[in-house]
Amino acid sequence: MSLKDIAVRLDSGPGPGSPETTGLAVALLREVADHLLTVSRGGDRQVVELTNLPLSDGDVQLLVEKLGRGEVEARISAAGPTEVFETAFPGVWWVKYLGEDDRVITQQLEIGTVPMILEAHQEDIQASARQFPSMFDELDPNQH
Amino acid sequence: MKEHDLTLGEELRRQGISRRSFMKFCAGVASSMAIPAAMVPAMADSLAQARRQSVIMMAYQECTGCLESLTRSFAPTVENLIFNFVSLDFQHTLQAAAGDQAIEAIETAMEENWGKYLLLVDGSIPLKDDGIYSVSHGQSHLDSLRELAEGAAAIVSIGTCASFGGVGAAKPNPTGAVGVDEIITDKPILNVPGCPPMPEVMTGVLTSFLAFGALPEVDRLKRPKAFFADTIHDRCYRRAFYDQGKFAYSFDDEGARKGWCLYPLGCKGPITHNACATLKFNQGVSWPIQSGHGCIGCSEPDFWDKEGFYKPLSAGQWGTAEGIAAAAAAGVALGAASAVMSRRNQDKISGGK
Ligand code: SF4
Ligand code: SF4
Repeated sequence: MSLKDIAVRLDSGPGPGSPETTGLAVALLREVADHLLTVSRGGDRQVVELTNLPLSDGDVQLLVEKLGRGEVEARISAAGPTEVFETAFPGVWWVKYLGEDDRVITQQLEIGTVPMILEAHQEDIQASARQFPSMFDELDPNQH
Repeated sequence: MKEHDLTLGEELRRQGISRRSFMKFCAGVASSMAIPAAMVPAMADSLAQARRQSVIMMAYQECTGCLESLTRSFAPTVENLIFNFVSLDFQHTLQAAAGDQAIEAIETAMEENWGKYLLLVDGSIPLKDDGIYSVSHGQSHLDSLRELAEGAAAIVSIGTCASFGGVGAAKPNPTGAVGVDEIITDKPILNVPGCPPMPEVMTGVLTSFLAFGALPEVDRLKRPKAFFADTIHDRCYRRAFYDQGKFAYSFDDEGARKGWCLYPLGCKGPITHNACATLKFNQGVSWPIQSGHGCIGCSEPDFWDKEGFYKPLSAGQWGTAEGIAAAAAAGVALGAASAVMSRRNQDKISGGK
């Protein structure tokens, strides 16, 4: 038996854990609309941080419903998992950074072509360009 | 010696840690410090350029709880790397060397990094009778602190004891214990109080020192604002019940079972500045109020002596006007200087994006 097996139920008011919405979700959606406009005009990637906001369960539910799911879904393994999906609005991504124990470290909405965590970064590309040719040393010369 | 010349970015590559992992770490720190998420790439770039930082960590009149807490942090892989990247030149509990060898290690680190090392202190420092109540290797901690502070770039006081005297200074304070900033007044000092302090705060402070070259902006008690600006009450998930007047009056009444507000049971959340309400302890498992106990105010000065953890604030000694005024006067001068530094650095970083 672990701690998780002991059922604890809290009756909450509005705030984390509550099914009611607080108005925060709608404010966030308006912010996303603004960012989307910026990015659609060629502006920089925009990020909306969700973690430190006192979103209620109802707020999160509203965001999930309104944003929907799009064509892309990805799971990245780098310092623990990260889950990414594109919402029904191309260019609006939901990014969940998880710890090695699957706990959410931060959660963000990213507005841009590709989320930062999905991109291959220049430093890593340079390292792989350096490493890549070493595979030819191991290959059978007759196959060349 | 060669390793000392690598930048953090080079060290990451050497250990095969991808930029992606590093970005993720930076995103976590930025989120915990309320640094705008859009600044993460710039922060990562600047952090990757950082060079090895010498750190000397001294344990004075303390219980080792602070160190226990600091060694349990939130994103183990990359975070460990950052902690390994700084060169912890002295920490007597963690290092293998002892006795004369250990003392030699401090002296070498001081010599090689004079004016540049970061001094971390946990525990209070006794002043009474020339500080003889707390002595290591024949030297009083008072003398040790004075000596080490002289060559330090900045000092971080870890835990409530090093910050404000804490347990050691509790009435009747037989050793005349005080916090670091009552002794050292000519260096940038940052306090990370808490009993124990939160590891995430230490990670944030260290990361921003490496990335921006300065301590983060602090409040009137020299606590980093990013973590200590809000009270527990501001961020408490039971706040809605407080606002509705729904309270627990004993630890086993209906209110307690329903998770209502713990104010009548002595919760000090409304006047306590700390980050546990959002970051929680033990890698986000829980925190005191979530487990049904009021906040005892562990990150505030003199929390032991405020006449009982279970007396409601309205009946107790917290938040008296004199106390607040005295604390404000003590924290201003250096705090403002490092605040300006950190703001300037933030501008630099966001401007360079
Ligand atoms: S439990 Fe404490 S911190 Fe939380 S709402 Fe009540 S008084 Fe405030
Ligand atoms: S709830 Fe209060 S006493 Fe407990 S750890 Fe947090 S700040 Fe300290």
